[in-house]
Amino acid sequence: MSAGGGDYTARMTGRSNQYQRPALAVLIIDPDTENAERLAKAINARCAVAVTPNAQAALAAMRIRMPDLIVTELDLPDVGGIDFIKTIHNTPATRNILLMVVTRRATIRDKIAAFQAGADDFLVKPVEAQLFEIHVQLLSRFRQTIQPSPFGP
Amino acid sequence: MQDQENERADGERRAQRVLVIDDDPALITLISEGLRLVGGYDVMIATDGATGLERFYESLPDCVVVDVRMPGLNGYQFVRALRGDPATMETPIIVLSALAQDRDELAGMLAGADTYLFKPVKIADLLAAIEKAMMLTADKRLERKQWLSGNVSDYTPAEGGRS
Repeated sequence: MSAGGGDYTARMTGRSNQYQRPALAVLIIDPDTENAERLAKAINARCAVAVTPNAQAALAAMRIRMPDLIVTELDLPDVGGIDFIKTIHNTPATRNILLMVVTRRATIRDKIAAFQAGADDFLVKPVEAQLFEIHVQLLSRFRQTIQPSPFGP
Repeated sequence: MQDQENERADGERRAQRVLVIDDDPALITLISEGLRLVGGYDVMIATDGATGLERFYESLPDCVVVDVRMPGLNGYQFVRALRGDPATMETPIIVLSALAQDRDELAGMLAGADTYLFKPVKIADLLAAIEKAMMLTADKRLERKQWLSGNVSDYTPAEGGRS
């Protein structure tokens, strides 16, 4: 089991050493700016991070740089978080963006709705910085695994 | 032996519960019968990911066996739903899938599965995987997650080979 996984992991690590991958572009949306900054700090070393307090500002930020991963709270001041996820997921230009929910709203109903809307991951607040960083990396590797780069196997 | 005697002496001790989630009814029947008869587990079932998540919170099983390809909420999403919540992140999870390539296995592990098994699965293999997953500690899971995410600072990639 671990032999197969280990082999692949080693390969990916090896490749990224040879040809430096561009940093993962991450957009964090959270009206709780203190939390957003804390999360940003956790992944700053490996990712290019932008932070916005609401969906409107997020859409504006996306016109400047399209993120690889959106991290969003479900409680947003301007639109419903689930609706926002649906919009991203159902728009052809943005549907390949990874979506991670980091929220204090964590009922089973919220979880199911978020995943059905297109979320890839769901972390319940309060989130430890280390756990957040790991999940970002795992998600990014997962995407590379499921949808291999057109330039390589 | 000792365990069996203890079990008999302590009537309140319940059988361990396994939740099986798969959209193939024939497979669900086969697996749940096997887990019940051979493994002595209480088995709960769900035929899609969303129902599986509801069942999980209703019954808080000791272990979950989940398929990857399912309508609505897939197996990867199901695993992450549990792994992202401190209340459920240490749940033993076996991913069972017809997707039998190495990269599918890696994807399952990256999503947070404890073990990835290919279909068709032998009941003996599934039982062994369940037992092993239930013995994993939080430290072990964290260690593996760090390794898979590349966050282990002293980790050195294998030399040579395919690149």
